[in-house]
This record gives sequence, C-alpha cells and structure tokens, in this order.
Amino acid sequence: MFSFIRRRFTAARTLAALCQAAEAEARRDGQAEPGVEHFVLAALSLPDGKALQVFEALGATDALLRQAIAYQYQAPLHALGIDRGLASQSLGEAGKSRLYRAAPSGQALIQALGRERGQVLTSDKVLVAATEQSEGVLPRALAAMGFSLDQLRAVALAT
Amino acid sequence: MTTLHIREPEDCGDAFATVVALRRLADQMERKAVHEALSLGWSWHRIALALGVTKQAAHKRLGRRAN
Repeated sequence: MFSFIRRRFTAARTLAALCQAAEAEARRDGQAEPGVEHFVLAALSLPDGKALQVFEALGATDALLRQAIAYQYQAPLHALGIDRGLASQSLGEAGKSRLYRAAPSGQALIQALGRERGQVLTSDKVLVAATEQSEGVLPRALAAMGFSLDQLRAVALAT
Repeated sequence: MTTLHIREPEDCGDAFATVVALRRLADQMERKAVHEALSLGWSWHRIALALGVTKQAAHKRLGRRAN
C-alpha cells in the first residue's frame, strides 16, 4: 500500500519535472507549447539517466537531436527558396503562458504516460511513449539521425 | 516582374513537413512583429487591422505570447 502511494508520488514529481523541462525546451526553440520532441529532449535531461543511456546505445546525443529537429524546419523552407538566413534565424523565445499547455503531440504523450498509473515513471518510458506517434517532427528527426521509431522503441524497452 | 515558382513537395509527409515549417516561421514572425509594434506604441486595434483579424482574436492569440 505504502509503496503504491510512494510510486504515485514519485511519478507525479517526475512528471512535473518533465513538463517543466519540456516547456523550457519549447521556449528555447521559439515555441509557446511543448511538442513530443521537446518532451524527448526533456527526458534526456532527467536525473535517472535512462533515456540518455538509450540514446547512447543508438550512438546519438541530445545535441544531435536538437540539430536534427532544427533541420526539420530549415530544410523544407530551403527547398522553397526561403533562405535569407531567416529560416535559421532565431526570432526570440516564445512567451510563457500562465496555464500549462502542451501542443497536441505533447498532450498525447502525457496521456500515454498517464495510462501507466501506479508504475514508476522513468525517462526511458517517456521515449517509449513518444514512439507511439508515427508522424511529425520527431520521427523525421530520428530518421535524419539514422534510426527509426521502432529502433528507438526496441532499445528503450530493452533498457 | 519576377515570378515566384514554388515547387510543392510530391510526398505527403514532405508536404506536411513544409506546412509545419511555414506555419512555425509565420508564427514566429508574427510574434516578433507584434512585440515590436507594441513597443512602438501600436494599439491592439491597429495590430488587429494589420493582421486582418478582430482585436479580440489578436489579443487572445498573441497577447501573452508577444509580451
């Protein structure tokens, strides 16, 4: 009974830290609301280090993921001829909302994590939940890094 | 006069990625422009007229983000 309560309390604390870090990643990225890619970056910074271990096993780093995410926005604009430094130019951090709001992909990830009630929330589980979303910036960024959602999921589950 | 030819991506995934990138660029430019306009003393009424939306819509969508 007590271990269940302790797990719920620890999971809530981890989720709060994850959401806060994801929001900071989103703002740094010029976005007002964190998407699934920001939650993955946030998971890589969680103190349990499990998500980082998964990335290391795949030969990836958080810096590489940041680059790959930025590329997903720059490459399509470049293909359209929008290339005057504007695409890569930072137009400032997004403002902070009073209420916590995530982008739809971020909301879906939080919901997926919520289905694991009673379980200990660790950063590798955030990666597993993120792989449920087959389209969008994250799978494209992973592909640019040389691996797929399925590979990420398999390594995260084996951790 | 120069004509701008935009070659649209043939792949659906690429087309959606382009839409997302354009939307993000537009959002960031809009936020920056609103922030600058406010610092120059523009009213929300004037900003809304320039953006082609109602004052309420402009303030609701951009009020906190542009600050």
